[in-house]
Amino acid sequence: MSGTLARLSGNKDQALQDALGHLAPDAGRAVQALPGPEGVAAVHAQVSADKVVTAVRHIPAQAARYAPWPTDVDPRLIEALAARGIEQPYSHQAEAMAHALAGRHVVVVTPTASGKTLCYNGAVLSTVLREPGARALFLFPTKALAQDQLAELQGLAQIVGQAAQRDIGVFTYDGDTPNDARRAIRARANVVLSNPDMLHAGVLPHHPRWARLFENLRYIVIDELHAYRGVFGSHLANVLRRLQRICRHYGSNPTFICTSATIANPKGLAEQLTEQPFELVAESGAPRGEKFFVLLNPPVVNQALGIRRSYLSEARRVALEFMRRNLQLIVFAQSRLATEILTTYLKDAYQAPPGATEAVRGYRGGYLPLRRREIERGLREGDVRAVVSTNALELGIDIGALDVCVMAGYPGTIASTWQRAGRAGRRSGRSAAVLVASSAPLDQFIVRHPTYFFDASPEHALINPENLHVLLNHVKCAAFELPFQDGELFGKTPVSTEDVLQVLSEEGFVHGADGQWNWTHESYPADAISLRAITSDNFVIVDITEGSRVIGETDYTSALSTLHEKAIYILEGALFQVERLDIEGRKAYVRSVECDYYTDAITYTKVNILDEFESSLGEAGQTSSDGRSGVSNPARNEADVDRHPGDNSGASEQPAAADTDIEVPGQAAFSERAVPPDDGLVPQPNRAGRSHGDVHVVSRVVGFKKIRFYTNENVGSGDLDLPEQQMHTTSYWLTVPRAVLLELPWSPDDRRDGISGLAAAMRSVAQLLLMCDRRDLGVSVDTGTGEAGVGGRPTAPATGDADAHVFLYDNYPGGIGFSAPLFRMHDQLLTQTGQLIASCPCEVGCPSCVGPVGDIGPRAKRVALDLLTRLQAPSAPVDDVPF
Amino acid sequence: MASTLNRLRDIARGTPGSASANATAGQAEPTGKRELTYVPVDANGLPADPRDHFVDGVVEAVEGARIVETAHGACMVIEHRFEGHRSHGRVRVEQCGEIALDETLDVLAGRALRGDRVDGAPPPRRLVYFDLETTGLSGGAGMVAFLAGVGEWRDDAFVTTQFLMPSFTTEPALLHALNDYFGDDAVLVTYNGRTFDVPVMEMRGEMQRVPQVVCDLPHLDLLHAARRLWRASEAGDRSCRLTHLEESVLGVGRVGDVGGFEIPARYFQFVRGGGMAGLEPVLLHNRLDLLSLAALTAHAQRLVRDGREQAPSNATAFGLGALYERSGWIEAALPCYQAAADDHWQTRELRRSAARALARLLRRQRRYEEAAEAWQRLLQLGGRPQILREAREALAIHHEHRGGQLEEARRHAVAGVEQAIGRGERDDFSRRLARLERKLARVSAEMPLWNE
Repeated sequence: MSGTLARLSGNKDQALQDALGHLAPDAGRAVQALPGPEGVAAVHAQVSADKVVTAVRHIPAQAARYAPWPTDVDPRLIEALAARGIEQPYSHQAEAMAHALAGRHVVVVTPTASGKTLCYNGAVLSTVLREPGARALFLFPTKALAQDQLAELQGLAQIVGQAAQRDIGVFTYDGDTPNDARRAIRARANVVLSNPDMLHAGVLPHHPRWARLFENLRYIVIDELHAYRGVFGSHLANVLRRLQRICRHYGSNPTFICTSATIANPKGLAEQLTEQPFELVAESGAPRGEKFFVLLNPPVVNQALGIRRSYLSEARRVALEFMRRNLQLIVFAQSRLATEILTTYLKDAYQAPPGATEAVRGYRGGYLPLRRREIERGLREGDVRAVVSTNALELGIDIGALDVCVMAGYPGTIASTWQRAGRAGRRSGRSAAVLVASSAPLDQFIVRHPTYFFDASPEHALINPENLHVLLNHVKCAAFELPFQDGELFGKTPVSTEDVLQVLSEEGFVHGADGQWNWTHESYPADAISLRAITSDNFVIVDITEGSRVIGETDYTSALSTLHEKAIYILEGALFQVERLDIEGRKAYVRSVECDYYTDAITYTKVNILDEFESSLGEAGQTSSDGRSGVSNPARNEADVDRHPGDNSGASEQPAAADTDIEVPGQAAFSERAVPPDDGLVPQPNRAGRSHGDVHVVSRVVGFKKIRFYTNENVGSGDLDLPEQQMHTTSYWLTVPRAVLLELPWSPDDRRDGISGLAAAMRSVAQLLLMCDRRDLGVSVDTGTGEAGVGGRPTAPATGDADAHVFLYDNYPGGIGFSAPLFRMHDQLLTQTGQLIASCPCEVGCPSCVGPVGDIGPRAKRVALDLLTRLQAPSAPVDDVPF
Repeated sequence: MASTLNRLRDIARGTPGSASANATAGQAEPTGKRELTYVPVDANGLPADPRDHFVDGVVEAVEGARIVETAHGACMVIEHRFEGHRSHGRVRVEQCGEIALDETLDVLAGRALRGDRVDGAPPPRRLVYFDLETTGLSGGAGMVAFLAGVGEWRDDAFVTTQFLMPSFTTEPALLHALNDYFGDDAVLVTYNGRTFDVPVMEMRGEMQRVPQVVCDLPHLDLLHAARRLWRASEAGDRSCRLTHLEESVLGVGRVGDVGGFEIPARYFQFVRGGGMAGLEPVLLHNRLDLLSLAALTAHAQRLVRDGREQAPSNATAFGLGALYERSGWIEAALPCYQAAADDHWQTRELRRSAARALARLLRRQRRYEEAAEAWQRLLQLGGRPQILREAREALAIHHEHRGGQLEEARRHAVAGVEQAIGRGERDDFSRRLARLERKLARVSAEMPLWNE
């Protein structure tokens, strides 16, 4: 029997190797050349940047590491788990449980399929067995994830409960919970599975009803911690301040157990979100089989325009190579539309064996739960041979382990890429992950710089809980929940709680008297706050194709640029055209259309610097606004001159200073008082100036472009007349000293094109470094004339009369914490921008690097590279830094 | 720091502007905003000092007001007597004293108010009317019941006692004082108290950890009885708001009454030192609500006691029927429904509802022949297909299974198929029709045998 299994798995390994060999001839050789499973270190064969397969990496197998049960674990739980086939925990599970049971907050970094749920379920159930009254609150980023965990946890709780002759209540509590069930849940649930939105609007404001939960709350479990970054994370940090405030009121002091995918700062993120000290468990003891990771770039079909073959067709070809050899696979697509397209491609092309009804399935949000469960089961049982999915299957939903993962397009972050790749791979036997790059700048950077992808630490998850908009709203909610006592602080925010209450009092929201601040407003403040947006001033999108129904919401800041008349609004892959924008009524009326383009607004943007928090101006002699320019004239450090912080020769490239600083970007980004001393910074060896601070952004949408999907061709445009928008936010900016501008042997117009090309590329790289969405960052260029830019590009030529600036600002009022980290990653940003532009095979610029030639001017690419070289030169002109 | 404050102000006002960029500290506030804030002003138009605590002088200014010291702090109590001989609209206040805690009140409540108390507590004997004024309608921990009004008939007068929170910190005192007032022999009477006032008190009790007696009292929520009694008649608009019923049923017209929407703002003004002046209309509003509630309860009880014969109209009779039926007074309910269904002066809609209620009740009583008559009456009245469908189906069943009149059953089934909306309905009738056809065929096949 076991012999058959071994042979089967051996065949599978062979099939996998064959398929890899067929992806491209050179890839086959690379795979053969790699050491076998007994190889010790991860090896990777870089093939060539020009080839279709640009890199293959072999990740060796790892055996399981077990540990004994921590002594505090209840024996009845151990017995119940043994009945389920779990004899012994993996080392990371044991470590996490030991921390949690001892009351230490713990964050566990867990790759896919490493048994993360036991880390918290074990500790929670063990405690519930010992103390029947104990309660736990589990937070998942989505309702679907909570539902998915419910079945498993309920099953375990039932077995454990039977052993202990007790009923252990496990319930989900979310917007779908029927009203009559809510009372029972409040009274009986030992474990409540919910999400932050429900906690924020449905639980905390009604905390007296939940008194029993809060009085006995022993654990707060936050699953998928890495999902809480940017706006969502900034909100969650404040929701957790409210939660802990209420726990204190009821006299409980719960222990946090968090799990996270691999990100650079899991401990820092957990500590920033909860304001508690954490233990980190980062070493997984789970076994894994060997894996091949292949990076693949579709061939160029038009050298001049830099156009490659469609990545979807390429993904189809790759998927079929595996499917033909009877390997089970998952294909990740970037949008719902792409998911449907690929599903159709594969269904058409794959000759299913007779009897297999639906061997290829699509999977995305919007499918009914029943259908999803059916597909998940089909995957586990092997009937479904291939599934094409959006990111819906990236998180912890159980689909068993597949043979191959094909990613059509770079998922956007390194963390997410590994997470998806982890969907393929059994605990033994070989598996493969193939990333097919699209022509987007990030994708191109990744496939052309495999070392960056494989060796760099994954992204930092950044949040800014001190965003004044966010903070103010949550202080309102907190005051609603419990009166603030005089002198009480809201979490550990550096913003004076008293100031916030004072302002709220002026506006009639609270009233301070007799030593406390009471809520004095008729409204229910949590209703007005969405955890997924900064401000509550939203536009609703009304679909008038048939009747009229609201299909979505967009925050005010991005409404004008995404919902102007004739704009294409994309919802879950479906396309709508805006017919009318009612700015007063905050409504956009859209109608369903079929077209092959999307729209990109052309925006006049002007950025004024309000307050410079930190700066170091590379070129001596420039003025600095706040006297902190001391750092800009550093003692020259010879060792640093030759150093290229971004060249990735080693695995952990982040300068030590950046690592520690990024843990607390919020404080640094927010308040002038909170700026940490600058002594940790590496002295600036080059001529580029860098700064970050508060800025005032004025923008006006003046027109739009129609961009064809996939090729990014510009296929039309239109003019618009819309009101001006203003925003106070935070920004990082690059200063191009006047002297550098004047040195450039190009005309002022070309210089302008060069700077804006540079800005476009910097934005892409910043997106990569910050783990953010493209629309999270705004870009604006000032060529030194102070004139507004259009579409992130300046109109005025760069005459060299004054310094030029490239602003990368947080595209949310108040900022969400990108600027200070970007300031610290300045060197890396410039180096990688240089790499992105230089390694792009296009001749004169393309959408994958500096922007399309038609938009950006004929010499933008060359000028941008020249400019970068000069900016990265040491402050006093010496030899060019080799690239 | 000034810039942070200014930015916070901009955000709090929802004006994402550039004030922080150019406004300097100490500059005047935008004046347009002033009227929207809750800062109270004194006689000279200057912001009032919130430290001018209301207690001195204010209590004396309000008639019937006194400060009650509890073990948990002070609470302001306002007592007021509505003398029995005075009139309230078309009725006299003394009618409130005629309410009896008997089975007719149980009919109004839809439950036994004097249920057996197992814990040996004294049987309830006082009727206490209860109404809250709150700082909003949203629910949640931040919504406070700043005024709890209770009323009861005592010493030839309807006496209201209002517990007012002079400041937020005095809530525990109010909650304790209210508990003391209710004791354990009261029956609670509210208007919509089941969904609002009682849950609010439950939440406040949980919030301050003073469990509220009021949550465990036997409770008559008159709203539900009022809806049954008056929704169908011209006396109640669809919502059966108390102010509407007091006008149409009791003939009370309030002059200058404070609107419910402005009540929270008036209290916020008061706690900011705005004095009692703004709050007195709220106190009056609350007292009138209590009095109207009591008078309406008295009126409703009299209707229940007097029965159909005395009902002012057959519309009210229909409402009475619903109340009787809910309490199991079947013999009283049937003539009410019958009268309403037969009354040509009533709207067709009301008559249909009455006929349908009658038919259903009779069927439940297994009085099938009478039920069939009522269904037939309903068919004659015509109306919405859903209602007719129910009648067709009931008649088809009746004639098929009980009457044995297959032809008649078939006639209804055919009409049902014709009038059905939607596939499911049509299929139901079609199946029934097919079965009837089979039965009829069998019967006609058997006929000759008998003849032989």
